[in-house]
Amino acid sequence: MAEVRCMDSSHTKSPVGRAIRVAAGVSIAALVLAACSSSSHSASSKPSVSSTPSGKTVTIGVVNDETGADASAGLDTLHGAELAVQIINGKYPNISLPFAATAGLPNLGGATIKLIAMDTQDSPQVGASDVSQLVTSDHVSAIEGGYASADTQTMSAQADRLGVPFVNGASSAVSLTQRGLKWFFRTGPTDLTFGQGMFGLLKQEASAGHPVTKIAILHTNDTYGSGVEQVTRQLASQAGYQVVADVAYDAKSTTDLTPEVEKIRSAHPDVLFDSSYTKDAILLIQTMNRLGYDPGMILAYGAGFSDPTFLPTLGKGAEGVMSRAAWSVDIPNPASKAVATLFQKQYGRPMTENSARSFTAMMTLAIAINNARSTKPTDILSALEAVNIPAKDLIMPWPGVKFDSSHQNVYASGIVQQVQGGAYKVVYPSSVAVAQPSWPLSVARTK
Amino acid sequence: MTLLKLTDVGRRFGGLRAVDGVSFSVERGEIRGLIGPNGAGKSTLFSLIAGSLRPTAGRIFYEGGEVTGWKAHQAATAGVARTFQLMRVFSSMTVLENLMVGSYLRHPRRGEARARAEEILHLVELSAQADVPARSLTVASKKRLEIARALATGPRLLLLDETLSGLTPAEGREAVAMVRRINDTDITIVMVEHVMEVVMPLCDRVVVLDHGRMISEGTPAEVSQDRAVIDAYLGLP
Amino acid sequence: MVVTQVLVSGLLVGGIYALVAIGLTLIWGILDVINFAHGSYVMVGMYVAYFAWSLLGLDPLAALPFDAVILGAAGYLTYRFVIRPVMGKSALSQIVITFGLLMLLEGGAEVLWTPNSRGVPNPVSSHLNVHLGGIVLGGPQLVGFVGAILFTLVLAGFINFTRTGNALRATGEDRMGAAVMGINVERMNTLAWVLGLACTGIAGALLMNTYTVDPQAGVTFGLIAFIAVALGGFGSVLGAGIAGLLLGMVQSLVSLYASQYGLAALVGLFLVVILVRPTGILGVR
Ligand SMILES: Nc1ncnc2c1ncn2[C@@H]1O[C@H](COP(=O)(O)OP(=O)(O)OP(=O)(O)O)[C@@H](O)[C@H]1O
Ligand SMILES: [Mg+2]
Repeated sequence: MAEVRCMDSSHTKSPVGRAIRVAAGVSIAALVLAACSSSSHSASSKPSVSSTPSGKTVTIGVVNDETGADASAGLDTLHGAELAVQIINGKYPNISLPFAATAGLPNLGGATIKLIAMDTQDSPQVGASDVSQLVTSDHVSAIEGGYASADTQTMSAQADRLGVPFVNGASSAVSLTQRGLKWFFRTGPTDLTFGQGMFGLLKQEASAGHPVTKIAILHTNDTYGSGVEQVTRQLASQAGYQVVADVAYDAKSTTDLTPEVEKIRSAHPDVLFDSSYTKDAILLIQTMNRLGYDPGMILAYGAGFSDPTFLPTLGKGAEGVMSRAAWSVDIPNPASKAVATLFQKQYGRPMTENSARSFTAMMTLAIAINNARSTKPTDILSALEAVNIPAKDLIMPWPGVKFDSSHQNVYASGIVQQVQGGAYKVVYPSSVAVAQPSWPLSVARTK
Repeated sequence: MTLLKLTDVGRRFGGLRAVDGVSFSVERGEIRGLIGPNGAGKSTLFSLIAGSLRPTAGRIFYEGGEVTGWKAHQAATAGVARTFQLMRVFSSMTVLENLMVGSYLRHPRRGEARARAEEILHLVELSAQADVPARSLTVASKKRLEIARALATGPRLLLLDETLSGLTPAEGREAVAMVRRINDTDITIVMVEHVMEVVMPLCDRVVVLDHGRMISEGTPAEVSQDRAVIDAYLGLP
Repeated sequence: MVVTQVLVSGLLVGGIYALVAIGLTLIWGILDVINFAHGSYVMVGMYVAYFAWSLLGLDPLAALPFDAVILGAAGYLTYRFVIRPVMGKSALSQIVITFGLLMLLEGGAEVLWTPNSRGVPNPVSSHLNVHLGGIVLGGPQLVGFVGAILFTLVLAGFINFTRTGNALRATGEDRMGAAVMGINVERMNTLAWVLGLACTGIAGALLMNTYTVDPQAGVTFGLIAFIAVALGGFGSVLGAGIAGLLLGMVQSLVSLYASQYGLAALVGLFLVVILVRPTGILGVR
């Protein structure tokens, strides 16, 4: 009799067949994880016109991650740029910044700025094609934007190929201004300048009787994390500190940081330098608190530590933690306070350092265009190279904006904030500090 | 009393008419044989009756009501049980658990379902293996388990698909006796068999299928004299 | 001491892995459908717990039953409207459809709730830390572990010792065989999805005791659940549970010596098992 299997539609379940499907499944899932692709964003980036002025206009493109994994930071950067343009185009006599009191750019006959916003969707490739579109079909005079360093890298390279100025304020990877790009400028601090700020604080604490000799580094195993690791190692060896632990971890897949914390604990550092994203930053602090481990001090490179979720979720648990920042609403600068107030009114949420950074990039670009008296990219390029903005025209805690030959703003620097009484307070440098640093962590927590 | 009635039942698979215009009735208490060469459509016909497949033509009546196109679990609930030509037991479950899958149908409480399952185990002489996984049974025992499992659902009509083939003569004799015992408990049986020698003494009447069509029906003696049947088995046109 | 602490922490995390994996193994074992979106449902479960806290002021533990019911209902809807149409279709179409679900859920979460991380501050469980001779058992982790283990045991008991559990297992082994035993296979399919996703709801609530949620928060849990199911033997509830616990410990131990490779080690372990013993370490089928 025939061994035909034909009486019904159910199919055999061979273990091997299943195993292959499992394998396929896991590999696909692993790919998803690896790409951490917020693969689900809207299919195409849609340009949106932010202001429609009458008369002469200067068209500038702004490209940010509006819908991807970094969307909250991306929207902050977008809104910072938008607010700068709003102040330039409108009349804000009580804000003491260039172009605030009058409408438009005076040297261009009061021309207003028209922004065309594009979305990178958290993809460096999409970002680059956004730039192409802005240049080739929208004929923008210049471009501002970028938060994730990976996005900024491809976008600025594309702008460089197309010969249009690209000004960035919010990306901090040191390498961005080390590529010899002709058309790329960065107004904001780099991880190196941020690190210098933190090491400056270490030195200040040493002279205040809190010497540090051993440091530990905990960092994510991606571009951001390894950049931070390099900078910290470099600055530590310059300052003569010993790196006793250097622990990398995978932020996307981490579900438990106990092993990492135990490793750091057994190295007995005096201070822990950290780069973490939001969920792992929260997990880290919770894990250390739970295990009753006090690393002396935690100095974080922003990121998760500046996420709006960080403090509310941790509550008292975050007390005493320090993190670098580029800007704070606390810094003693009247223009900065006025802009922050306007931001809150406009967007219904507090202004963040990322908004301040892109605000400054946009302002710098506007000043250069005004100085150039032209909307031609080449003229704007020369004007950017020559720009020298004094501190009083900025909302940042810097002496000014002036680009070196690599087009990095030589004056950009970071500040250090510490969680005191449940909120970040600027504690360094002393010129802009609103509170004394409380050192070490154990002391900060008993206050 | 007519338990099962088929009128012009057919089933196509694409262009193939696996079952084609089959009509016959089965009386309560009967043992009915269903024979035919390979690919004649016997197993397919079982699937149509037991709700594993939907007919594409004709109507099926069970206990006087029309049941054409019912679902397998509805058929089981109504008292139609079947075995499969290729043994199908729940191989990672124990022998007792296998039976309980069936006995739960009439005995929703665990204790009763278990008691009923043990009773049937005893009946089919598998009690010793109650707690071993079904996969470790011999072929003959698996066949017996499959029948036992079908019995556990408390059927009134039992469809056996080549349950007796592939057994040694001794096993075969035991199985024949078992079929008789089952039939004695007021369970009507329709059995597919290839081997005439098995069918002859056991069945009251026989239906013969070839290429999906019913070519003969009658007592085993009548059918075995039928020219069409002999041709079909010898592969003549 | 360090190793013990790390292993204990790993074991506690493993409890959650176990719970997520059990949900996956149920669906997989019974319908033979790979639910790629499983991790995304964990994410949804986390959001449910988060909103139960932010809108209703419920602690994640109080939100747990609520979360199980909501995700169970999601399981019902998913089966009825998304999965049933592709039952009996090719494996590829099933993969595509659950993968599409993953995209839909993550994309939907992003649109509805933004990509921002959200956390529940100070949950009740965070006050339940246990100190055991120098080892710390974190309250949230401990609660997650105990909750996961309890639920696993209840589910294993249900599967092994009740009529419905018996029917579920029979369906998982042989759909047609189960149907002719009078089992309504459709109902078992639905039940598997309801139970499977209720697991993700419970996991989501337990996870909100200690994690923050964002649209991608479930990806790792989904991936680890796949590995646990493969290791534990397809469809085996206890196997998946034990594998989940083991994976938690392996991951932590590897992380102690090579921190960024914890997950990589699990994927490696998985590949080895698939090649050497495709039925899973603990599996029999
Ligand atoms: N699910 C199916 N799809 C397509 N064709 C089928 C299916 N099931 C059965 N067939 C075909 O229908 C015809 C009848 O098959 P069936 O299994 O009913 O024959 P049978 O009489 O039981 O044969 P055997 O004695 O070999 O068991 C065969 O040609 C078979 O190939
Ligand atoms: Mg057959």
